[in-house]
Amino acid sequence: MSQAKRQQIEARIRQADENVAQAKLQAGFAQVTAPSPAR
Amino acid sequence: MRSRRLWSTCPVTYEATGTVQVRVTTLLSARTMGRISEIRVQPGDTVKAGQVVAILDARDLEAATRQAQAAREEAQNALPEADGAVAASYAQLELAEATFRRMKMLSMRSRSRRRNSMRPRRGSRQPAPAMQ
Repeated sequence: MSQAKRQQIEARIRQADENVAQAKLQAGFAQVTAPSPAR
Repeated sequence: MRSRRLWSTCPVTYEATGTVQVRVTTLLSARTMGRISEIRVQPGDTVKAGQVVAILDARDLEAATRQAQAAREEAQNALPEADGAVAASYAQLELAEATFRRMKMLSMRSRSRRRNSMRPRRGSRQPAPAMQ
């Protein structure tokens, strides 16, 4: 029971890590850049 | 003489209205959705590829980052408690196993003592048959 709870918490941490990385990535995209000239 | 007069009456310059159109257009798009908070170029400016032309309002994104970090910290803080519960469970298991071993041993001893007490001893008389 306790072991299962610990595993649940570890899964939550992994998910939170992914969410943090995703959020940081999105925050890094908060700008518009000029594209390469079309050929 | 007549044609010479005609040339002299033609206008050298003239004014006209028109629309200027660019030869190349390009579509700008951001990799994430959001409100534009700042535009860093003006119409007619020359830009290079990769140059930042606009900034999006990142407050929502930053808030989402902080929220995700807070959720991670909360989960991380719950780990020691879970570890304590795991350790307590193992301790209970160990105690239960030790108790079981002890009870089993006592039970075996008690059975063996009972068996010995029922066995007749050497030289002892058999109990007399009951009167009817």
